[in-house]
Amino acid sequence: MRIRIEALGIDMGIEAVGLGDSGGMGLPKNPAIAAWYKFGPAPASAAGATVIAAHVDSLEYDIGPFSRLASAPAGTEIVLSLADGSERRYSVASVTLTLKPDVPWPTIFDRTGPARLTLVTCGGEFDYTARRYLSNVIVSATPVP
Amino acid sequence: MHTPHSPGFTASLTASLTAASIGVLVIFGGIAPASAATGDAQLSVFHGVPGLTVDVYVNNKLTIDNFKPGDMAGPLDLPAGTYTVAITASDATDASKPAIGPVDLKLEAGMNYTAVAHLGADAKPTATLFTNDTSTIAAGSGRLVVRHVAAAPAVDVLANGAVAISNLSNPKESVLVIPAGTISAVVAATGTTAPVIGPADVKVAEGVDTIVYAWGSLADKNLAVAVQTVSGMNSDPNGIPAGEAGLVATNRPADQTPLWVGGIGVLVLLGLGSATFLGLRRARR
Repeated sequence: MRIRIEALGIDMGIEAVGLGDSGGMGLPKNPAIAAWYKFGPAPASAAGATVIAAHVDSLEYDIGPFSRLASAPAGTEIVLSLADGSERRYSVASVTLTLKPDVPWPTIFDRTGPARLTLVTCGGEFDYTARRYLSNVIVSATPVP
Repeated sequence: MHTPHSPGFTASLTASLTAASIGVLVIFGGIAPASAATGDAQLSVFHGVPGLTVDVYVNNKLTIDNFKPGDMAGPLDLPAGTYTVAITASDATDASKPAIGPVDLKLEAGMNYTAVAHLGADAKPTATLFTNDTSTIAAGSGRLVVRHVAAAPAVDVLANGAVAISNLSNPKESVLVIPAGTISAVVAATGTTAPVIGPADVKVAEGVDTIVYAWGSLADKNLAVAVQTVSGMNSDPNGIPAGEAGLVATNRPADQTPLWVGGIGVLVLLGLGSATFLGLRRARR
């Protein structure tokens, strides 16, 4: 699978992932590789949120393409290329910066409701002691027929 | 119980073919519990008695017609309460001469059950009511439940070659929460590894109870497995940690260098070092 967002210069491969060590979604170390949460809805699913995330940066690999999500205007086109060669198009509905304790995870990982795409990375302020961002950047996108 | 030579054979065969084409025929409408309570319970029924096609009566009403060995019926939404279940030969006309039961099943509101007609360890037909665990399962994991309902001694269950469950006896169950995935399962007599069932691939899906029934009879060489799933217990990852360097942080220092880390970034030190070095060189000029 690949994700392309031409307006942001994003074109990344996508790996299927599960959980990381701490019970969070487990992302590849390289911010240039996106991750799809394999226990949730797939892009071809008729319902629920397909969650694709990537590191915003890395000590080893520098800043990643998803750092540009924070500035995506509403209406930005997102294209997923699936393993079977088909493509799915989405349009950005909203971009939010939410403090991590306030992120509604059951909504982010919702397996029910309308089919949609949710992109997640980190952003906002950084805790230089704990070496973590305090917020998540969350992009909600709806399918374009 | 009918035999292939009984007068009812043709009729039964037709009926069972019809039932097979539309799934197990279950008629649960209009059955009220003996003691009413608020809320519904969910009940599935598994038939694990080899060679015996049966009818299931609930509160004396024919509810599952021509129920065949290995078949699973339900789940049925039932008002909480106590139900009297009798299992008869498939050519019975009422519940007066049950082959199994009658047994009283007490179903509580909001609970999920599987009633199993099966052979006891002594090979006599019996029935057991299991409660299916519908508590939330950690993200990324599934619940594997193994129920011993076969006429066989205690068993071990090996998952991917290692003993995962030991000394499980009829009619008990054992529950494991394991990472979601497919395991190769073998059922062996306790303390041994020679398969009496399997190896069989069992898919344990995330957030789902995968309930494996070992049923049949060791002596009659018809041990088999049946699998039931109960879904909807999935939970979510506790977060998406997606950054470690602070390179795009909104609170990074104004004079930040690209790899500023914790105030003592490696490149920062190198940078200061070079500046000092250059300064020294300039001073010498």
